[in-house]
Amino acid sequence: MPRINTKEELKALRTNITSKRDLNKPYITICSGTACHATGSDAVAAAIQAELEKQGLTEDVGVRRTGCHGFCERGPIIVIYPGELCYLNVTPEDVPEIIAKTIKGNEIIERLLYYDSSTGERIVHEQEIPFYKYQTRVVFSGNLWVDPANVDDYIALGGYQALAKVLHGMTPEEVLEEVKSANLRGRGGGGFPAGRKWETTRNAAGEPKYVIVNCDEGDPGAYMDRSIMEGNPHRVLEGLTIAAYAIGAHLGFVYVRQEYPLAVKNLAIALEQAREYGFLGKDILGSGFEFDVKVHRGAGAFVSGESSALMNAIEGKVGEPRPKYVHTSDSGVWDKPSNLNNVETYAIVPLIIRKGADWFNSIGTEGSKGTKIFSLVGKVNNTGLVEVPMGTTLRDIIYKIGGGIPGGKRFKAVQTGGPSGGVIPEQYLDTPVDFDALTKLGSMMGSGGMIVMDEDTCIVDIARYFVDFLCNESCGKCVPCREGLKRMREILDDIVAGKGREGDIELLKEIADVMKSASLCALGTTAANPVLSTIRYFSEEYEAHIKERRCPALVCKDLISFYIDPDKCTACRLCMKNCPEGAIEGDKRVIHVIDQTKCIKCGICYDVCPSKVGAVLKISGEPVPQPIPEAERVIERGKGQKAKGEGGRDER
Amino acid sequence: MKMEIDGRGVKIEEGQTILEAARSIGIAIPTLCYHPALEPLGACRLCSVEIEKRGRKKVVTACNYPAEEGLVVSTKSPDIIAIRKMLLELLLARCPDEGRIQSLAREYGVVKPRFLLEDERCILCGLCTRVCEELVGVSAINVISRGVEREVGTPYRELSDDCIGCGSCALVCPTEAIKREKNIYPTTAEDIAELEAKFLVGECDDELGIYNDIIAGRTSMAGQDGGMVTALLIAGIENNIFDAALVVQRATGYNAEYVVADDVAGILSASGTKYLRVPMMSKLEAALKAGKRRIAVVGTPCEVRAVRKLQQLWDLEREYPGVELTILGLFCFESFDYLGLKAYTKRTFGVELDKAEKTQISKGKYIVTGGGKEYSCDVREMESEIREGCSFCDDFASRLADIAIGSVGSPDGYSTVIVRSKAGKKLLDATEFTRAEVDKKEIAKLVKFKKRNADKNFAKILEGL
Repeated sequence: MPRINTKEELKALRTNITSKRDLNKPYITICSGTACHATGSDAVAAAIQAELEKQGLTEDVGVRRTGCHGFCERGPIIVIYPGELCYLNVTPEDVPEIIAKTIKGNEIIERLLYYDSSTGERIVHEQEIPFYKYQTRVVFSGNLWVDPANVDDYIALGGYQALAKVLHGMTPEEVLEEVKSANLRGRGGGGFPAGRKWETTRNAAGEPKYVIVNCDEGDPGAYMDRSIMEGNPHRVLEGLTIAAYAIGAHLGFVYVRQEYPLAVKNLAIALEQAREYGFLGKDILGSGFEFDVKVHRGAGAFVSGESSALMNAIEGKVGEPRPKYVHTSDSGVWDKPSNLNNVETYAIVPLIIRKGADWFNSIGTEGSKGTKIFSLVGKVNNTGLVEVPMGTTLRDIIYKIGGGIPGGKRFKAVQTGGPSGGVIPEQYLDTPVDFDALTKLGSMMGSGGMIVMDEDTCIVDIARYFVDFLCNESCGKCVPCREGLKRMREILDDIVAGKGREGDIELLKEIADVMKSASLCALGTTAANPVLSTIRYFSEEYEAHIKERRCPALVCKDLISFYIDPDKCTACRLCMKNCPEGAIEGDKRVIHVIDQTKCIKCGICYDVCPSKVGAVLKISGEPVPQPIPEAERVIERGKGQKAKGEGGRDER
Repeated sequence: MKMEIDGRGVKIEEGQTILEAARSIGIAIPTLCYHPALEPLGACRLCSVEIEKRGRKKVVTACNYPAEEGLVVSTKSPDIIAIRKMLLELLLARCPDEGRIQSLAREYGVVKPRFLLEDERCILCGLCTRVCEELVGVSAINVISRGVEREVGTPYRELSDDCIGCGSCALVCPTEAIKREKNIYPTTAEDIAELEAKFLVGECDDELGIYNDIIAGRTSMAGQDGGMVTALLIAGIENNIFDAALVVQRATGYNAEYVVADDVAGILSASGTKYLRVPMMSKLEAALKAGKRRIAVVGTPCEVRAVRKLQQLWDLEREYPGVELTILGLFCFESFDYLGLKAYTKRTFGVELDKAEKTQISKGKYIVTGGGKEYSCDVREMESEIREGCSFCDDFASRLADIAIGSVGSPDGYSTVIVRSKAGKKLLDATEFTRAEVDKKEIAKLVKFKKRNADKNFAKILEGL
């Protein structure tokens, strides 16, 4: 690779790269993010390569393995250009047909297209699939086209031009002003204005200064930072370098968790290539500015995402929050001024520089500008990564993009902000999502995790889950967080086990108040949010568990029973055969009865009972009806409702 | 500079904390993890106070929040009392039998926690780990695991090779927890009394400790001074007093390691003093696990203490039936860090320590023989190379050993031997040597000197309690 020394050389390089690319040549892009990797994108890629070789098409058809496309629910995903034809759930077996029909014959394979159940239509183009259509992909756009292992792809899309613009024509103060006037707020959790943070670090006493990327991303179900780092690492590095220039730093760190092997790998490749082109190192782009980046792999602790804990970890110490009343912008790594932002925040920076603060301000709400990437998971049809303008309503995200709740179930709540956030119930679905609106609802933006829950989710159980997560992930240093969480878990364990007591809700709130005001770090002060917000919106569900020993969502094992409705049972023996405990009595043409003393409530009988029979019932908060006398259990052939249309079933 | 605490004005100095400012005017704020000689940890949160700044109220910990001009602090607002009550309720539920927690809880009206009672002792205040790291400089213990599993312990919960048994951790521990930790060897004054009564025989001298015989001896062995350690070990093996000896042998270069010697050749290969502290306890455990039972251990006073604590804390007889340990303690003023000593020797004398023929510390001089030439300097110049923990050790003459050996107090070419137990006596009786007179005053002088040094360091800890 030649070293790029001027803005003009960068432009010439881009022209050179793009001129060699024939946009009319067939191109297959294969989503190769971690989710598609898990569903088999490697095998699909290998099959495509093999098939192209077999057909002698390797010269005529391009193949590119890109980062995550976001529609993880339907991976592996391939998109074929120039037509932007999108095939979902592709298997290696589909490949010969794809090459033969689509590549050679220009023919679309209907069954691999997206099927829109609401219209009954198949959708050809990726961007017309509702999941993508209603998104505004700004930060995440590159992931669709860029091979993260090839810096030329990023350059072809205008990569590093923002850096060139900054280094050859803007003073650090001007960069700072631009970011400040863009009103960029940090995407990592608190939503603190990034420009102000940069300015504090810049003005802080002490040299050298450091810039750090937080790619720890520990929230359960959240993976937007991982996908950017895996799919488009140069965008992050460009943003980081611009920040370093504005702040006056010459060394940066990327703190990335070891459990993100693909991110670590692609980042290492990106750093190597950026150094070769001279986007990092000494005299970047001939400007005289020097900056380089070190990668620090974290050993996977949620608390290490907290700023001062992360600084400790980089220093090689235990990743625990520091007890000091000083911001890391003033005293961070080795007590030097250190600017910490997460992956997404840095990835936005090159766009602000290229398109301007006004452009950024034109997107979003009053207090929250730009777009935000959410990882939409849980009980939603289209799980995946979603980028939308700030201010998009929860309803639009969950229903228009996410395709609503599977199985026609009813929406119950959405958990945002991970273990520091809270749940938001149905009545607030039309809330425009931004930093302040979510906080007002007792939740928070966090880094953008969104876990959708349907009516079959027990809200107490969810609170218990998050508290349990934090019991293990808190550093355990301070009393309110460690002991408070432990006792909260104890109380919640009791409640879901049917041993809740009058006063438990008040006690939970009391502990929560102390955790909130007296904990050492933000993990502790926000740790009670899942409990507080579930109590705020679903207190009657807590009450049902405590007072009536009833789990309205029929989830908590100790509070539910399985019962076979004698009027519906067709004596098919399916549940009997599948019961691992032998807890179901009955026979051919003898109505089945569950022995409650043997039942372990695994729910297999409930699952296997054919839906049109629906004889197995889950009940909670009421006694299990006495089994009918044995004499009445026999089903006579051709008699009664059981015989109707169910003739063959009992012969199985 | 001035600020306000509970409605009272207080003069403050740059660098002071709210806690210091409050205490300077007699306002009491409860603390559990605070110690003036240690970095604040902010763990117990009991010193939480309310501050008002630019019209906004905030809860902060007084132990580490800097006192500022114009700050308004409330240490007893209803919110603060509620916080402390809950914290104490949580702590009392964790450690219901700890007196310190009980009395603080009572003070705040917490009698019966509303939570399930545990029977923990440790409140995780981190005083022990910080003393060990920040003051003693040994870091034998730290907090391990995280979240609700957090506890104090040694790396991998194994016997510590680093703990010098100085007892600083037990001294600062506000509960009984650290004394129960079985992988370290905090030796308190009571422990020493108990161990002396259990293992030693003889009259008690304030400086020399308990002893029933004291001699200067010389043998034909080519060891340090009179070669008495080597001779005692060989006598022990040959007379079937023990089956094996744990001795220090040079490993690569000057660096050394403990090895198990079970014959004369093995013992001879380990002769000569190494002024380093090398991991012993793990090797002792390994030897026991490998089936050795009657073992002689040669070690510095801190290692002697560790082995004695092992005998006190663990039921060794149950785990290793027939176990019999004979402890040969060495006189020790300090030991050095291998890399530090190596660098120093190179820097000062131009001698490669790894290739030096002999090293000796005698009469306040560090003497190195390298390339046939002898070099020396005053030991006091080497202070920076001393292992930090040594300044917290008050034992010069291995007062808990069965038999203690050194050069101080003897004529040139002789070793001093202090016999402290029956086992020690038996061993000395089995050994052939030429006897000479000992100058007890010379030993007492160094004993006192070392103790004074340690006491000075311990004073920093005691003052803050």
